[in-house]
Amino acid sequence: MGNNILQNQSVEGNIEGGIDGNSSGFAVEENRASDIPRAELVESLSAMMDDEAESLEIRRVVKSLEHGPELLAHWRRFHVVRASLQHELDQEPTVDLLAAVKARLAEEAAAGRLSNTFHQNLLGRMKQGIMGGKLMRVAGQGLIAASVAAAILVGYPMLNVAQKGAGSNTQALVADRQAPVRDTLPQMNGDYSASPLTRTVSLDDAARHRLENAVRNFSGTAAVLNSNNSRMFVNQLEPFAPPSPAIEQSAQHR
Amino acid sequence: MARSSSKDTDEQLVERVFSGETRAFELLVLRYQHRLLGLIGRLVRDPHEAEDIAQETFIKAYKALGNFRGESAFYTWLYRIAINTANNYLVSRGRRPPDTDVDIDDDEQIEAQVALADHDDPASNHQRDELKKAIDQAIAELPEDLRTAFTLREFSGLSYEEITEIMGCPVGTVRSRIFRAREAIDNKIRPLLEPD
Repeated sequence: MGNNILQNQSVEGNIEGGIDGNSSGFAVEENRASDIPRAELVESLSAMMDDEAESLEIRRVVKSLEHGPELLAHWRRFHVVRASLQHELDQEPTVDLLAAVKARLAEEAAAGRLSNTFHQNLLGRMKQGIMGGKLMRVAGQGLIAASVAAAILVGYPMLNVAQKGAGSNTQALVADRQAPVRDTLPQMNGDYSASPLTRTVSLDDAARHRLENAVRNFSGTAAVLNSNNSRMFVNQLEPFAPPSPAIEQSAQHR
Repeated sequence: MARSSSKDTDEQLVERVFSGETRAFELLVLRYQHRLLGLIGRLVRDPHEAEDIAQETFIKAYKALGNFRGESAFYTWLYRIAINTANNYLVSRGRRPPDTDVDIDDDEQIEAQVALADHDDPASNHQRDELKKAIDQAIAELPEDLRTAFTLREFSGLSYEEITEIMGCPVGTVRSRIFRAREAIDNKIRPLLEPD
């Protein structure tokens, strides 16, 4: 077909990196996706086309996406055939839509527009019991990881500040992070004052001891976080952003 | 063997995204891009604008994935975002959105009748025709058992269970036949879809 518009959809060209430009960072399951025969995976893809695939198959297929471009290319061609048979191929994209979407999301992530507030939004939903059972469970699992990451991210600056003051003063200056501080710090005896940007907490000996213990606990995790894992956690959070009100309203009103 | 229901594949892909496997979203993009382009193309009547809006729709969907509750099918949810995005686009350009909503139930039927500007492009038409011809020929050359299973699934929209009853063979056999049919067709059309 020569310079075919269909060829512009070079899936092989898109597949490096995840949708957010990073791999998921999750360990492969017991059955390593890379060990599964290709034909088996493509058969799973075929079943997924027809919504007849088992959950485990879907998980394997998704994990296998990291091992090469072939599966995604297969998936795309299967859908081109279906679109052609169902007369939906009236407009095949003249640009690589998937690549464009990935590029935009990577751009937004780099600019910090894909914020990590998704999990807060989700937490709100869970508290309200809005989400349905299955999605809720999965979201809950993701939320645990996200919450741990958030706690650590909040805890790490605390560690730095507290270490500076430890042993010399009974006052710990905790910068910024107003709400998370209240949620994260152990309950303390003593005077408490807050301002928009900083909080000064006066501690008695017992409270200071508890605070130092808490900081020490954070320090172990924060050290790990400070290495490679920090990126993984952050990347888990990055792709999810709070919904645009316009979209939410639209989706709910229709 | 318990099978997933119709919306389960999409739901599970969304769950994979929630679990941190963001690449699952790529499968959703490739799955729905054609339908979405057809839908948006009908609204804006310009293939290039339709592509931009489709891109925007997927981005909005990704960002708003936390709102997807699994109560409706993923495509229904995506469809609403697309309609909203297209209408907003038209308004922002001083153009009037369609008076009536495009009914999702009519979506597939109408898509077959759409006339976009792109249709008048002889090169595009030729490519589509050539692809369609290759697919038809590949289907015609399939062994009968594969062709029957594939046709019942793809044209009649029957489930594997229903095909099993018609063909009198186990579900696993139906599944395998449909897969082998797709593979055979794929082998024929791959040269047309991949760069040299």
